[in-house]
Amino acid sequence: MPPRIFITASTHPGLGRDGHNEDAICAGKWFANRTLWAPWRAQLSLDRPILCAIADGMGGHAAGEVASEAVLRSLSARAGRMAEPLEIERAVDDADRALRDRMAAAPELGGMGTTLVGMLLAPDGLLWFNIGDSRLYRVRDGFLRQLSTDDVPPSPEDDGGRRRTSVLIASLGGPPLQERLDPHVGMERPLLAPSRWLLCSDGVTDMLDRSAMETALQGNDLEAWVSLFGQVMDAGAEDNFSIMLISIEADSDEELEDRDGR
Amino acid sequence: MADETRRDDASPDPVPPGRLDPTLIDRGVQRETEVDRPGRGSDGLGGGGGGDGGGDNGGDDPWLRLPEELARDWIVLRRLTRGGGESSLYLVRARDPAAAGEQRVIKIYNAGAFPNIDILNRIARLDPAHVVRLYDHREVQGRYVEILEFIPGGSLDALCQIGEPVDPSRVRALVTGLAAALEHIHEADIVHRDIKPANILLRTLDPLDIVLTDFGIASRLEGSSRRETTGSKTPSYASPESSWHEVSHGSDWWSMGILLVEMLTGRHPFLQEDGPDLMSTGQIARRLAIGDVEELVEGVPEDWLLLCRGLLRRELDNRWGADEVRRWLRGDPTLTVVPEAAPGNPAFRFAGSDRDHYVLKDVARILSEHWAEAAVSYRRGDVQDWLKKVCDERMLSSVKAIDRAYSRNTITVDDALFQTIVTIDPAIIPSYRGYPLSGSGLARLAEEALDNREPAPAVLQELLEFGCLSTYSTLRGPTWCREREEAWHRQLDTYVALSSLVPEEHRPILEAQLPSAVAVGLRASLPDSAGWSAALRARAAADRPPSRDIPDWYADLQRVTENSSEAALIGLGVLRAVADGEAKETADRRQQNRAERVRQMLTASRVVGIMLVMGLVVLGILALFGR
Repeated sequence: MPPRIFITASTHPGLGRDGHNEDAICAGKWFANRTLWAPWRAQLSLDRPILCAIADGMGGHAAGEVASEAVLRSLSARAGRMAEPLEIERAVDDADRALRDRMAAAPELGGMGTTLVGMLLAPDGLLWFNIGDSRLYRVRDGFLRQLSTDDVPPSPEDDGGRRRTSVLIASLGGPPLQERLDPHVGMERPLLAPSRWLLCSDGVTDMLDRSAMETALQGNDLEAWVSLFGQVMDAGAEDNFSIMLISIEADSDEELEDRDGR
Repeated sequence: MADETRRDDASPDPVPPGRLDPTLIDRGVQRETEVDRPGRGSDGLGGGGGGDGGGDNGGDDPWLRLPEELARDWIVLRRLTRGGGESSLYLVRARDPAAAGEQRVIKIYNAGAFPNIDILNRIARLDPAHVVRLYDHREVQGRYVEILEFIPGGSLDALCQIGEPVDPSRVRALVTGLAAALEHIHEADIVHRDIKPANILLRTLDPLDIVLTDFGIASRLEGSSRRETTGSKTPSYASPESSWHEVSHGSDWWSMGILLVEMLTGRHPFLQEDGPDLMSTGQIARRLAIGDVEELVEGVPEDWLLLCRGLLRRELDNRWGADEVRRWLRGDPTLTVVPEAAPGNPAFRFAGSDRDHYVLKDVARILSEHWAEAAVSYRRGDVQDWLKKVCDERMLSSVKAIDRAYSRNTITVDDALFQTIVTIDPAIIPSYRGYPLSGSGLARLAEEALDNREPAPAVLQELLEFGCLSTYSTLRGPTWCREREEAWHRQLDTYVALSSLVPEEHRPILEAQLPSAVAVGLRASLPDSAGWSAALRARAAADRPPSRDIPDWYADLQRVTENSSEAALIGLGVLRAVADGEAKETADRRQQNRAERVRQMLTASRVVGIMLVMGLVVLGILALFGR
């Protein structure tokens, strides 16, 4: 029996952006960039690679949401062919080039760009990658370990993993490139099961410090999502924010509802 | 007394005139008269009655008098230190005219402060060519007292206070004298730990002849006076490793390096850029940890650079010592200095802490000392992320391998943290979950585990399972660790072997007591466990059950464990109750049998009796009828 994955995900415009959401989120064939008040929940069988990713778009006049959607759609279409870090880099490169081509063709989209954090789940292991400041964490024993690398200028004011800067030193699209796009890529083989992961955009991490997030993530996936979502809202939710919790189970007959958080 | 005063005045001044000319003797004599004036000196109390000596300096000072026992032999000339510190120093003169008015310094420790006697004994045996002579040390009326040689020439401090470069020929003489003195004390296994101008006294200025004083005693004081020792460990001369309390001969050589830079440039390297003050302790610690140590030798004359750079190496292994300094003095052209690695490690900080750490050894120490916080930092990946930035390739591959094993759940976070700590500083005496893996730390762990005090039993079990001791031993730790672990395993082997001698139904008892055996086995495997083991064996011997009815298997067990391990004795002890029970059963059974036999005998004798009576009756009847 192939391993199973449980996904609990949402994206929300936040309270400070007039309902405008530039975040996009995808898991397998599912895609969303409209407000989700309740999480999307799914239980998938890992018999073929599944891409889970979040993109946080930027750029004026709705260009940000164009960029984030375009990148996620382009990557998930190729998920079945991304088994190695090199293929991921190529896919990211292609998505970046496609964005730039669109910008060249449509001046109103000028300057659009997006961050990207994603995890490719396959029966034989995990591959993750990121550009920008959307993050991937491993959730274990109640603690968060960040595996993505923030593309932000070095800052001495790193306050418990919380950061208040919107400056990025790398993104897909965005300002013209000085050098080749270089995504941060990591892998874990064979598949780590059971294990639990969190993908999120900076709308979460700018609002909450790491210990607050750790506290929120107690309990099962649904409880954890409710608590994390609530805390971001309580903190003011100044930006679009997206949350995706991924739990991997080796092979279990438990149902979605009664699984405990791990 | 007048004679003595004259003699003092007339004594040839060993110090040539000049800026350093210490008029101590003259001033001392002047004070002497003042202190002695109340006339109590002559009655043997040495100004001991009341303390208002009447002098301008001592009148308000109840301590300007000696304890009676000392006052019989010595007259206080004046007090050399005032307030602060853990002791007071007095300049005294012998009362005995035969002693020709010899002067001494008496050091009286404050109430409750006691020096390390072992170190004092060692100092007393040192060569007075290099160190101030320690004539006597003992407890006097509840206070500890040292009687020291008086060096009238003052200290090197006076030379350094001038703020101008000192004549290189004089500095060269200092290098010769100080290097010889350091080598001498290090050979006696003493680390001074507070080499600075004020602790280097001048027998003569020309030629410069120095002796060391105020030995790290202050920083080795035991008891309540610890907090007062801050003044004795002078941060501006202290080595980088002293900030993580590492004691080594190299620390004295570092201090010598700072001292030389100060004398050669006329400026202490830790003076603030824009003023006459030294940097704060924090600023100095930061510079020592991550600053460029090459900057410390700025302004040092070209022909002195090699020496100063050699002494001021951050890494102990790279720092010059007696051998290199001697070679430098000889002008050995093959001498080299190991270049410093580029400074500027990023800071490591526990979440919630406000202290930054920059150096691997320092981080290893705080991880070891703050286990709970360290485990959180490890789980969050902060420890590993920092190490990725600062470790060299070889170390990093070990750190990554450990992290990977942790990520894959093959080792626990505690095991991962322990392995990481001993990887990044193999010289550390590491802790495991707060228990130092030293003889005493392990003894405490074993004893707490025997008392069932949390979390000791679990910690002990993990220590055994993960083989922490041999891990530590493998990486440069002491070999005794591996030997002890092997001894521990042998102890447990003998315990496990007991079960073959025990009837199957009793084996679960042995298994249930395994944790005690683990603790006893460790305690008995530690160095210096002889007394502890003897006590345990004596208790076991006194606890022998009476031999008559004990079951055979227990008797076998007793025979086997007689000369076996302490852990096996524990097995014997826990089975004692079972053996007692069985012995009681056997005794009861025997009793029962005896009663039964008696009953049977009684029954039989009754039958015989009845038959006998009946026989007699029959005989009687027959006899009656026969007639």
